[in-house]
Amino acid sequence: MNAILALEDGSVYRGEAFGARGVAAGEVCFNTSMTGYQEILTDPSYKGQIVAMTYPLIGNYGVNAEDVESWRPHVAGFAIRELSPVVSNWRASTSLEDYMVRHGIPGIQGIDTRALTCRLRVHGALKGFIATEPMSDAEAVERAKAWHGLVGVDYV
Amino acid sequence: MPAADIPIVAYDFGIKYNILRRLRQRGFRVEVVPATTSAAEVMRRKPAGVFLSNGPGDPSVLDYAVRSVRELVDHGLPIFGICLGHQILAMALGGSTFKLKFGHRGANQPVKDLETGRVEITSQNHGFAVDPNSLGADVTVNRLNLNDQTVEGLRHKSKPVFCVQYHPEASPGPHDSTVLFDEFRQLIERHGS
Repeated sequence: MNAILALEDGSVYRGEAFGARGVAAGEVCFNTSMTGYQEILTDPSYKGQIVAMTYPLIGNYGVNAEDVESWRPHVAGFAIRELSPVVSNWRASTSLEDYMVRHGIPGIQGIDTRALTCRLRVHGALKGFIATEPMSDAEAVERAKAWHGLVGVDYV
Repeated sequence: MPAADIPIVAYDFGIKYNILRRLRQRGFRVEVVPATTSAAEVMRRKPAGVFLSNGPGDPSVLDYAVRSVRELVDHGLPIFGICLGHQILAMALGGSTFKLKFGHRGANQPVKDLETGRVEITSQNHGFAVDPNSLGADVTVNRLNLNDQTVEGLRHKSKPVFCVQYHPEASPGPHDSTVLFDEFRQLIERHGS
């Protein structure tokens, strides 16, 4: 299924949906960790953010019961280059895909995360909108712009 | 694991489990309280120190937390803050924060300890930072991010309080800065004696 990630500056990234089906708005930011996606998803500090990973292969060691950093994932959405089709780790109890479905977190894969990161570095963190349902570029961009943003809001 | 013999209160602004694990591993007996807990309620528990956790969003709107922490600083309690806790402590000491252009997020952020000259590779996740020009002369900026020279650590010159903008608990990331939990314990022990 197709998915879209739109930014408030009008740029649009189309890819493939993974995780939960749905829509989410948030501040789009990038994380340069090569591993640790499970800790990142469950770190409460990511509330209100759509996190893009710069490392290109995510999900290869699955998700386990021990490495969560809180009771559930808090990211608004998750954007990656490639979801590993193989889950291989002795501690893994489930896949990243199933974990995100269970907790209602929408994801997009197959996008050019290098281009996205370069854009965020030039323009700064941007409001974004992620959708796994059919949607025009213009509507997705409008919904990114319409989000209230992080500044001045108590997320604690 | 050592006995849990140092009672502390940890403010939960969105605390990560590995912070609680690290505190317990250093011999702290931790009571976690909600972000809105007043200084008076914390003092009633007679803690040996107070920990301020990480958390999400814009620190500049958290007046209630800044007020409580300011009172706890005035009481002279040893305080250690991480990430949002660092920003709240900075505001309680009279400073202010600003939004970074694209933030620091990742497990490979270089931080220089200006007092020792050592560089730690740190785990970070923050979109706001403390403005060094907003701080009074009684606060020392003792750590800087080597990518953009922004504030990564503070220490008060006379009160037993310090904080870091990054994540010494890692999870995920390198363990270069785990020693900060030992330093919190040493600060409390020095303060109590």
